[in-house]
Amino acid sequence: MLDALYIAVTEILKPWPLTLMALGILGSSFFAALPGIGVLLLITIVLPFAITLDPYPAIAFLLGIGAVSNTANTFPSVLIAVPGSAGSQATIVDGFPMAQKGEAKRAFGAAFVASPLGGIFGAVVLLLSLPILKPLVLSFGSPEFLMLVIWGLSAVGVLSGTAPVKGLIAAIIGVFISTIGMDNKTGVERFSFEGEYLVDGISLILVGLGLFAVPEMIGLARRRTSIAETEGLGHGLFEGIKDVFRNKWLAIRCSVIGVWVGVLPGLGSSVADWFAYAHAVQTEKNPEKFGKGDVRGVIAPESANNAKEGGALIPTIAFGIPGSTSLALILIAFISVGITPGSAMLTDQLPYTMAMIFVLVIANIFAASLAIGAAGQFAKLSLMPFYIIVPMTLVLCVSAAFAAHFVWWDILTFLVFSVLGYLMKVLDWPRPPLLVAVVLGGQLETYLWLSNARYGWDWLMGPGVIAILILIILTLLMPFIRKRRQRKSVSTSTDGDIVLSKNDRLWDVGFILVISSILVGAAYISTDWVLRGALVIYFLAGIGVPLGVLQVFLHWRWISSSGSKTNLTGVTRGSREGVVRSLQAFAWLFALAAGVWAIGFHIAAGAFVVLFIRHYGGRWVEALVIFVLSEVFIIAVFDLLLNVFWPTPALFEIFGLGWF
Amino acid sequence: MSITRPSSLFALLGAIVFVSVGSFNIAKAEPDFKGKKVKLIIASSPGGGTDRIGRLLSQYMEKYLNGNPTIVIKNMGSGGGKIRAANFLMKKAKPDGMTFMQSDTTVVSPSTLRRKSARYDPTKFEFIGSLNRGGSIFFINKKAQSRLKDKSKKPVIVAAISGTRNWQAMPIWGAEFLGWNVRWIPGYRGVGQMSKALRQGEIDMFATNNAYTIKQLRDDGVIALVSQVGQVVGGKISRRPSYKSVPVFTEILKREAKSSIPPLAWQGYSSLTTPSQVDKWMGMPPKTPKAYVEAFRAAYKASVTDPAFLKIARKQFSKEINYIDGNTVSKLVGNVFSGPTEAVDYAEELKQKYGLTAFKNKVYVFKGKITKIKKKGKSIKFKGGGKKGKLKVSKKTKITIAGSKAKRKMLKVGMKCTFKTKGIKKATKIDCK
Repeated sequence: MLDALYIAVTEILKPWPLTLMALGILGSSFFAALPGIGVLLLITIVLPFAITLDPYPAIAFLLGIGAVSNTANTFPSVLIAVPGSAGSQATIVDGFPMAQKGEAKRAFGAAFVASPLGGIFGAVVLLLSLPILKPLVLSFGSPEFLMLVIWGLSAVGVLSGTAPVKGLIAAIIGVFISTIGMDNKTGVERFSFEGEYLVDGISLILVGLGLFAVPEMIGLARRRTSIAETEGLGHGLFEGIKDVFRNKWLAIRCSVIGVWVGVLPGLGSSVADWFAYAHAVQTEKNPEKFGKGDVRGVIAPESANNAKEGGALIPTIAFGIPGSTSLALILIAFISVGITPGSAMLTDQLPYTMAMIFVLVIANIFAASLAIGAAGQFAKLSLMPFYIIVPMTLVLCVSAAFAAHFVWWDILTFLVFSVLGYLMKVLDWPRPPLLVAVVLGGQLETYLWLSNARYGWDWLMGPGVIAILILIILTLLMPFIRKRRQRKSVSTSTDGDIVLSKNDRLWDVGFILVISSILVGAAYISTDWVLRGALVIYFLAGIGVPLGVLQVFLHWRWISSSGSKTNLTGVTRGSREGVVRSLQAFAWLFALAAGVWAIGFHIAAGAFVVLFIRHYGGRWVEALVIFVLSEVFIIAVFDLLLNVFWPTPALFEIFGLGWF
Repeated sequence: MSITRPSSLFALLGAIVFVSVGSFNIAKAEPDFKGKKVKLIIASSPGGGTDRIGRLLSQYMEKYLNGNPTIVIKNMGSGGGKIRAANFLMKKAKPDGMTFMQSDTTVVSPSTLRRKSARYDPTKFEFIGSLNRGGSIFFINKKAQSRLKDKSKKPVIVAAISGTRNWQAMPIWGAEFLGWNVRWIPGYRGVGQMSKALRQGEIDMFATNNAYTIKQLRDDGVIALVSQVGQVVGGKISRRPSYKSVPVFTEILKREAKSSIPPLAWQGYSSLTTPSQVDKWMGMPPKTPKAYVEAFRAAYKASVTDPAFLKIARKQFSKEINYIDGNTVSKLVGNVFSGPTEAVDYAEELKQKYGLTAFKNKVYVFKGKITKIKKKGKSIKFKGGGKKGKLKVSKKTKITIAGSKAKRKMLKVGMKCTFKTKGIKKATKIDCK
């Protein structure tokens, strides 16, 4: 084994593989930081080149890209609440509040140490698990996957904070959203309304952007300050690094979770961070601090999302079963250059396996160093005035939304989720449960179906199932046990814990009525489908509507006991001016979306940033600098790099002008 | 603060328009692509097989198209994206020779055309050519082999991603005519997941044309190969060169069928499997000028026979990559859709019988007499127009009696009606005298 390691290290440290690895890491960091674009596209682009390489340069190049795909995506998550990719969504929950507290640097310090540590941990686990690769992967069938998904969904409880009923309803909405699109087991096109757009389902990035990024930007436009509500950024980078070592056991536990999610092909790349976040909230002391800018809420997901990459290599190497789409492409390249996954990876091709482990370690250290070097500059963004940050972020959001399929419907869907996210924020609905449920909802239905179809109800008696069930029960009980020990009240909220006023509650009742009506309508529509495809909808409506009634009852009881007069003029908490400002910010967002539709992305985005900055008192020079930056970004990324073929804007269509 | 100098803004907007609009696309009569941007729609998400073939081909087609245009790629998702892309090619893409599409089997399958969202006619596309990677190979876990033909034992479990894959004709026809002892579980997420499930014993059978997956499972002694769909070579379906010992399923069917197989069953089988012979095809919008179609066909042929392309394609996709020219693809697709609708209905009914996704959206209109009413009109039996059967009447079924709107409970035995149905079981309109 040591001989193999020696060969691997000397081969990877040669100039050509090292150069390719550096290029891969730089490219991966750039693509990972671009919301909605992602590293998968980069791998697709470089694949024809990669398959012409020798094995060691190919390993260095492709794993250099793949290993660090979840490092740089922390930047947009922390700074502007925009998920760089699916693997960085949970980081937003505490990362963005940290930026608001002027602790962006600290968040970066923690993230960029937790990330490589997780990545290296993943590599070590890969190394140690080599002799037991096959039984390890084969020990998990559909019932065990189902239990893991349920374990992930149990996070809804803790992510709901002080509003458990609302959290459950939010999770039901999330699962409902995940049912939209083609149901593979029955062929039913659920809620596609005979159109083609919704047949693919709703892109996760649209939900993430709408639920988190836009409400935070609207909030910023209402406050009219910088993201950081402090004077300076302090010296938080080193503090963040120390935080990881203070919470080393959390980082290790979450790395284990990341590795396991990676090991199990089929769970998807977006669940590791949520699993880890939920685990942190369930097991750490003072859970009430999560969601309000607790550094542990950054350490947990960041430790998991890079560890996953090492874990995902295990089934890829053992059976040629890739743990993710990116690894599927990397696997194709490996086979093309002569690396054959399977038992040979532990014998004849052991040096290749060692090279993969070595690249995972080196790439993580290199990417994290790069990110730490850039963190100080990026953190300054949190001190910039809102009239710079808001238009830039909204343009980024709309571009990321548009990048889902490059059709107008994406922007419309994004707007719908933006409104939903904002309403949830102002009415104090926990948003993370909804996103977790969107991520896991589809898998819940799939694995429940596969388990029942294959084993009937016998699957419940499997030892693996029982073991995970015990784990779920323990983690659910953990907060109560700790609460009892501490003998003090613990209130957890991931979305603030402001008590709603009477007016808010009346608006909330209206919101619940709309949600309940949608669920009932959905159940009615699904009566046309085969029962197998409709069952999940009946279940969601059957649970969601009574929960809605319960929440309305809770509001009614509160209103009855408060005894004050009802005033329907107020929309949300906060002053009337605050409401007007929020509506104005929404008007800007809708104007940008309408502009993209009418005159195209380039013109609308440019005009939008200039008008926004000038309208809110920015100087011409600021407006022009941001305008140039926006146009350079759009042209460089979309036109030159991605060669995007834009749909013809409506006005160009009307006047018969060409467009490309 | 508002902008006080609108003239500056207009100047600015003018500048952006100038920079951004770019070139106008005016199709010329001559297929000269010098300085042009040609759009390639890939009916798949980035990273899938269709996407990788399209991207690879685009690099070579840029080289072989006259004037070396830039090919700009647009991905249109997977699943519904394939249909969206086909709808786009049919209805929205200009037939100016500047747009072409990389797609696959699903789009030219009759069952796909029965989906509500499908609004295209594949026989109208101008096909450029296709690459067939070899038909699917059907295999079984060795431990389950003895149960396949023994109905006294536990059924062999056939797994599938969805109920719409072409290879599924093999186990369905096997169950119907060879007495195979199978049970279906559709809903898996991909070939990787099914491979793992097969190793675990969660499932027993599935098929793929991915030679690498098959090799891995064979090398580990997990599977035995059962049959294959076959590959069109010289107009005939034959065995894949790498799997010469594995019989084409129709050979087994002819040899081992327990009863005579009706012509409709053969046609139904063909309606399911023939589209797979087309595999990864490229096409242009209907009514694209002939000169452009020929230019693309020539560039396609030059690309797929380029040794550099073949070297990469054989590594990435299959050793048995087989080029089919555009005219042959048109004929194959024409053949798929020239068969009787009853054959497609037959195939869909068999799929439904074995618990798989079936698209029975065909609308039937016929006259008959109500012979029995159950559950206050929710279910009726009828006879007439050469048909006899049972219909589901829902609240949404439009019912008229003697020209007046009526409820289902008002239907009576003996009424003479005109039935409009979706598929063969669901009444959408009943008009009674």
